Amino acid sequence: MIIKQELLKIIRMPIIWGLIVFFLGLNILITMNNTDFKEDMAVLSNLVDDYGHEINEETLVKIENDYEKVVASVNGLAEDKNKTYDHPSELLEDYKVQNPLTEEEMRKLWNHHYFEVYYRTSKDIDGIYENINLAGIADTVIRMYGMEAGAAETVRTQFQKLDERLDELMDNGEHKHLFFNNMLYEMHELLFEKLGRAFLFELMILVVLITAAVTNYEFENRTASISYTTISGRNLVLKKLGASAIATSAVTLVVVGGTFTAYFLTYDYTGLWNVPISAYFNAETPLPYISWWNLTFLEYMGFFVLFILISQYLFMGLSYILSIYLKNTYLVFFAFLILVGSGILLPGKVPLTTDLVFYLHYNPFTLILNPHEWLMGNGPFTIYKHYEAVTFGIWAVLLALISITSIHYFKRQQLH
Amino acid sequence: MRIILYELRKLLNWKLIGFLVLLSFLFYHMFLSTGFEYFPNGRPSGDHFKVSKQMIAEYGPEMDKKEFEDFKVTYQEEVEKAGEYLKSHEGFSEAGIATYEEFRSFDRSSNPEVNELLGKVMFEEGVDIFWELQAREGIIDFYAHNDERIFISDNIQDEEWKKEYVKNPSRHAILPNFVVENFSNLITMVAILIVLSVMIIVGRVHIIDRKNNAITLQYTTKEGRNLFKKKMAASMVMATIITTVYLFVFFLMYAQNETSEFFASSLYAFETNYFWIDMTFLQYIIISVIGVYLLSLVAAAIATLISRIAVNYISLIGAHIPIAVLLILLMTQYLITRIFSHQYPVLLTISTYVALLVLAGSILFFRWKKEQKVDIV
Repeated sequence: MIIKQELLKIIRMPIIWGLIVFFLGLNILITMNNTDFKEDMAVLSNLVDDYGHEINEETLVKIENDYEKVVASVNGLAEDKNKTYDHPSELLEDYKVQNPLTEEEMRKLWNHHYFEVYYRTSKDIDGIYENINLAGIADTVIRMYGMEAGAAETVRTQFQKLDERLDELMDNGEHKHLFFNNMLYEMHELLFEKLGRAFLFELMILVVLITAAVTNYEFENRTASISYTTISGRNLVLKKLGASAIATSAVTLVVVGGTFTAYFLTYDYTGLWNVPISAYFNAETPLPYISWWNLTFLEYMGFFVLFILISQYLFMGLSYILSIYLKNTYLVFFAFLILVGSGILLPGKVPLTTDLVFYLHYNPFTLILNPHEWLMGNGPFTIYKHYEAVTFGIWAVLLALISITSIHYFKRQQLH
Repeated sequence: MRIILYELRKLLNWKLIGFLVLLSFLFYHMFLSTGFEYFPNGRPSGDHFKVSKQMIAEYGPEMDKKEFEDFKVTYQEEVEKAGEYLKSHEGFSEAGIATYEEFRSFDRSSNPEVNELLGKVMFEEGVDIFWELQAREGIIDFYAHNDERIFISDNIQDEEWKKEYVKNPSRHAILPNFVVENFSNLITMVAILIVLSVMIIVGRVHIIDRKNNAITLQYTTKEGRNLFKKKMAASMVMATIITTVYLFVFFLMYAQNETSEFFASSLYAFETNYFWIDMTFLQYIIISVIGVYLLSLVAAAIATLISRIAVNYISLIGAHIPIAVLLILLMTQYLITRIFSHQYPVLLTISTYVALLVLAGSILFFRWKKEQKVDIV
């Protein structure tokens, strides 16, 4: 019952609603970033409709047959009838400078070209994966960051483990699935990096403000000397934590849910939910995304939301502890910002010779910097298979212990 | 006057100042330090920087056509010096590389041994002359193709401006692009830090009185209602102080980058990206600084208003966030970053500043009007 009263305090703050609306607007702006590609991306939807998303010999044969028809129609479009074109891209190359086609024909030609890219890349995938040299990438990383001794050794071992996973992935055929050609569209980056970071920092602001405001409410509204004079009054501090937790879940679901609704209404993912996240077409750099587990896009999304939620609980715990000692929302907010900054900076300031640098990366602030690499072996400093689980685990235990001591301290402190 | 001083003293809460110093320190390491530590960034940028300075010492801030011929002669002399170095070097003479041309056009894949030697000379020993020659070639290339470059540039639609530009002798100014970019990036980050700091410090101007329940006391008297004006003045003074302190520290650090030789060079320079106005680098710096002061006053005005309206800290911080996000976006687009560059129309920049100032002035004016009659509870 008291929790309900505490929650009402939050709900009655118009600024929370204002911020939620502002953040949703901002996220929808970010979502609209790739709408230029929408028409081009429709080519993939048609492909998936026709052949399914798995690329195997059977589908390849079907695609090949259709591709021949495409090439034939490309030659129909061409002005110069004496020349035959093997691929749509060749015609595009010819028409770069002077273009005799109408807009509609050009549109068609471009669509044929995207078809060509999907077709030719699908045939090349095996070759591309056989040529991925993770040991070489490890060496490049080591040189790029100037790592030495133990740290360099760790990176090598981790990339070796990733190599084993890569072999497994190639046996499973996880990489051979159709997906948006993200070398061009970078949809993974848009969804998991740009929107992911936006979520994490927006929610962080909301969660820190809500937790601090609820926890400090009695001090800031001068009701502390009444409510904290009794034992059950002092127990309010637990109820406030409960209310913060509920509010944290609620704002997370509202912001993430609202943005996702806008996102998936804008971009059509029909038929793609079960594509493995490590599919080659999802790759955006020469090193494709390699997830440590065989996860479909939908499962990856599930973990993504779960991790956002857990991060926010950690931030809630941290601001709760700060609130108990600082007793002032303003100070809590800036103290929290300082912790964020230190958490991000500190790992970059230690020498790259020992494993210390990797240990320092086990903190929630570096964890939220690259949400698009969660569960993946793509970031050299966070390349551990259980990086996320370990970080969350350690910090949850740590914050729980400090919270318990802080509550203990709170219940016995002087009122002044 | 005395009340303004009291207000200023109230704003200078030592805990908050401590936090601010810490925050600035973190901000510096995250966003500013690279602009100082890695400037000019590597080779041949460093050599380019050195050569450009030599050019200014020799030709003044601009290099006209005749001086350009002289510059090319110097280049030839350097080429010969490089040739002498190659001839005296055992490894190269054995491989049959005796001139700089041969050194440049050497097919790296044909002879791995020489390729390794070449890498050693360039990267490990870092023989200056080869890097310098590269930098000089870049400069010559830019200078020679400057007039054509502007006409093929897709970013600029204004044909009239292009014609004006080609007639203007300022386009011979010596000012490498990375010098302007470096300053532009740094001042943008400093501007963001200043605006945030002003919001943090000035944001408390009214709310501390509200939190102490002093407002009910103050607003029963005429003098108390006039406090808004005093606090407004205190906010503006505070914003000016904060801005001045930050900019002072910033320019002390920026002096390390040693770009003063370029102050007299115009931004129309043949190596920079295009700006609308024929201003010198120093004028550009001054305009940026004026922009920072204006934005800091705007931030102070908004913070004063929010501080008066907000009933608690959460709404105080919360209301600042959308404004901070918006101001940061504008600053990184055209209010500070590369101010008056061709990416955005001049009028857009000027009108945004005017709009912000009018907005800041009017919210304070109307609030001041309202203060006279507003209910206390």
